[in-house]
Amino acid sequence: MKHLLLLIVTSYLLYGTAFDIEVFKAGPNPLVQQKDGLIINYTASIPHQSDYYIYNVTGQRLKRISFENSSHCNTTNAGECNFELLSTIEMQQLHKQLIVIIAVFKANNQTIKKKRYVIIK
Amino acid sequence: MSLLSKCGLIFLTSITIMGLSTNETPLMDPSLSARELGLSKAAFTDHHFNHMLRNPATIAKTKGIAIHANEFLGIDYSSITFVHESINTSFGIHYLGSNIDSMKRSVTGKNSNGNPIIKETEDLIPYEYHAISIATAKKIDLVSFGAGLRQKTLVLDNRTTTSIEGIGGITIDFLSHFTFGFSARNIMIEKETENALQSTQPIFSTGLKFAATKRTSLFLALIENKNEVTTHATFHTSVEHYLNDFIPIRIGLDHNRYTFGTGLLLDPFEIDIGWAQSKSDVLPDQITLSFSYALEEKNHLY
Repeated sequence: MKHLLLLIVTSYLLYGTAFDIEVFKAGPNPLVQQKDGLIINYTASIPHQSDYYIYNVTGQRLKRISFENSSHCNTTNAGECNFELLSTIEMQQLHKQLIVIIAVFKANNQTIKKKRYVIIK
Repeated sequence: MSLLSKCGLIFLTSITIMGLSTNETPLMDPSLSARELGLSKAAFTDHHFNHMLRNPATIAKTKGIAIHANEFLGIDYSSITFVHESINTSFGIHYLGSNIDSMKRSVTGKNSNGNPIIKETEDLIPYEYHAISIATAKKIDLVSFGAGLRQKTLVLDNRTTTSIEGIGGITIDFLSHFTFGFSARNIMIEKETENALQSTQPIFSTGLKFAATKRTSLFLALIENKNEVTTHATFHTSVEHYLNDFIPIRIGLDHNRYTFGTGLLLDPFEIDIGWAQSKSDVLPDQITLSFSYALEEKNHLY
């Protein structure tokens, strides 16, 4: 019985799908206005909901973009998410400054926050 | 407590209700000292060398040196203030600096499926912010005047922008318990660009200090900052009370959020910490730490 329990726990730990976000990137950095859009790359272990907040350094919210699922991700390999969050035209509306991108990912009642800086010049 | 003091206390505390009516989140100002943050930016009528950037008139008849530190959205800011008096005129200098030295340069491309990908390099991108300010002030009888200049420099990779702005202010003591103050800052003299740190709209502040007792002061301010709230001026009110000779407690309402501060006064040395509530789940609270040395004992509690 003990061995069976141990086997179940080990199997769960080895094959269970815990929610995780890896290698979160935002770029290009620096981002050149009239040339670049804002690209997001990361790898997620399971489908998820995501919210992107873009702030300037004084805490003023410049943009908020939400996705109910992972359909925007252009997924090719397991869990990879590569997409353009803001187009070149949308980035032109922002001042040339440092922006802070805060991504909030939610799945399985778990929340993961990631933060990246991008210079707009 | 006199009848006048009681009336003043009731008037100033009742103003807090008016401040709760809107939802805009006050922005982070890295140049605020811990005392100013704890007192919800309303203390610019009080003579203290740490209030130089809010109202240069407040440095009149004061002297001291202070260092301040805060962090917001993972970015560290440090600043130093030095004020001295000579020939009955006060002179002050303030420097604020910040940088990020871990931001990697990256470029974009496409993977084999045509999706956008980011390639990070080992090269780091420079980001720096520097602001240096000078001010002078003089007190004649019950009236203090002050004026100054502020230069801000922002380094974004290989692009550097500079702006120069003017600051000026006045305080008037009246009825022995009250001080009225007005300041105009962020008056653009030279600007190359506009961004969060190099904002372009002027900021007008009008305030009142009411010294209820030797240990208790109340502050009220009306601040018109179109860089932050475009539609109307904001209310700021706060109270500072010394529990004993050493420990002040500060509570305030900064437009629509609460602020709190405390410290340790070992006259003339003072340590202060200020906290301001975040109105967003995503943003952190603002916390500032200040170490001040007044160069002479203030004895204002005795």
